[in-house]
Amino acid sequence: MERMEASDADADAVARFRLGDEGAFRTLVERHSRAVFRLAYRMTGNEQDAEDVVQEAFLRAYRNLSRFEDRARFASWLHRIAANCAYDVLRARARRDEQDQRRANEENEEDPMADVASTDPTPDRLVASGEVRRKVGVAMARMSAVEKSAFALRHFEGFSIDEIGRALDLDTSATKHSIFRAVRKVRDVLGVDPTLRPTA
Amino acid sequence: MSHLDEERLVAHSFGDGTPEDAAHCASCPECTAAAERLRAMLATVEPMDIPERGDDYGRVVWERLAPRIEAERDFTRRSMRRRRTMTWGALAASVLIAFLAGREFPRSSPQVAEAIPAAARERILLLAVGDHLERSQVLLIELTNAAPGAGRGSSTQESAEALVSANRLYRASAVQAGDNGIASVLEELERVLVEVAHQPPDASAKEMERIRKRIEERGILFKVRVIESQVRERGNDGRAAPAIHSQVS
Repeated sequence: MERMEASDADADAVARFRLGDEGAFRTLVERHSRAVFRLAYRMTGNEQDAEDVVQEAFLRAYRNLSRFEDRARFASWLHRIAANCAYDVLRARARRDEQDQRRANEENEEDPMADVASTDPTPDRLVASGEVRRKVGVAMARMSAVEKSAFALRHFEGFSIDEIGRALDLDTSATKHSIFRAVRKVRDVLGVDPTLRPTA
Repeated sequence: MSHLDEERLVAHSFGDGTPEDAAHCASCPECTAAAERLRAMLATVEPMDIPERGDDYGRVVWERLAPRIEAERDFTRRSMRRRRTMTWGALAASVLIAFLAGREFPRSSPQVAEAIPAAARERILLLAVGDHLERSQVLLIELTNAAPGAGRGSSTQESAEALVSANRLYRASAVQAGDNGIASVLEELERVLVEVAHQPPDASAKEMERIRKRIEERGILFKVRVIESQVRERGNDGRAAPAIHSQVS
């Protein structure tokens, strides 16, 4: 019910904006900023990057709002834009840090932490020891920009495969495959059930 | 039916599998167990702690955004004014064509180039080139700022087609005048314009993304902005514009 009211209010603001009421855009910014920041932070994992994504996402939305037809789905549209901006940030960062990343991976291979997996920890024990977050961080660092984006959008944000594909400019198959590769990296780092698939 | 492989198992665990895979899991205890193990693992992967943003965060975002929005509005207003000057642009293009025709076939049309005083011709030509470069910037900005996944709109294609024709004239003029710097930028610009103009209606978002990247990586927008500024300066301060002046005199 609340969601319905929010989308009605968005539709109203979008309609007013299209009639020339520029103040209506401010309403949309104030209503959606926190949600966009959360999404951006989950994808980038960096506060400053997330702030930049928020600004860029609203600016792109402003430029394109007059052509946006599906007024009731403004939030979904805006989140797709933000996801795309965050993806751009991740790709740029990946290019910039390519060398550092290679070095970090080499160090990780020698890191005794990687061997924790072989001690067969259960998820419960990992949660209890507070290790999961650190290890998920390691897994995320090993993911490519597209894997990280697709996984974060599917697992944390609940985007559909179709929405992720549109945000990252991927087809359905590539979207699913990116998520799969990301899950495999999480699995490798957590060391939980290394095969996953049935043994029979 | 054989067991699901890992990729299909992951898709199924997220609810993104096929109906066939779901049906298989419903009747296969081993795949069901594997999917449950996978879900249990994913359940431990919680989102990271997110820095808190207060109730006034929206206002803070708006205050940072407002100057950029205002700049966008200014740009739009300038674009509107620019469209009104397109008539002048068309006139200038006619003058340029007349000039080139007079230069190429002086005996057949000697009166054309002499019909308008040299100084006036130069001012009109500078105005036209400046407007052409400004219109090109509008198109380049629209392309680079298009919504994620956006393809090429029909109005963008029409604008690109119109700009290609004018660009060819101005590039030819710059080459003949020996103004290699301007000619080179116009050549780069022309390649982008031609690509956009010739994209099929169903051009993929990926293809448009490739063009956007090229614009950004080669700094085409910046280069166009620089030569536009130079051309405007020549027109405004009234001093001779060596290359273009020699072309029209």
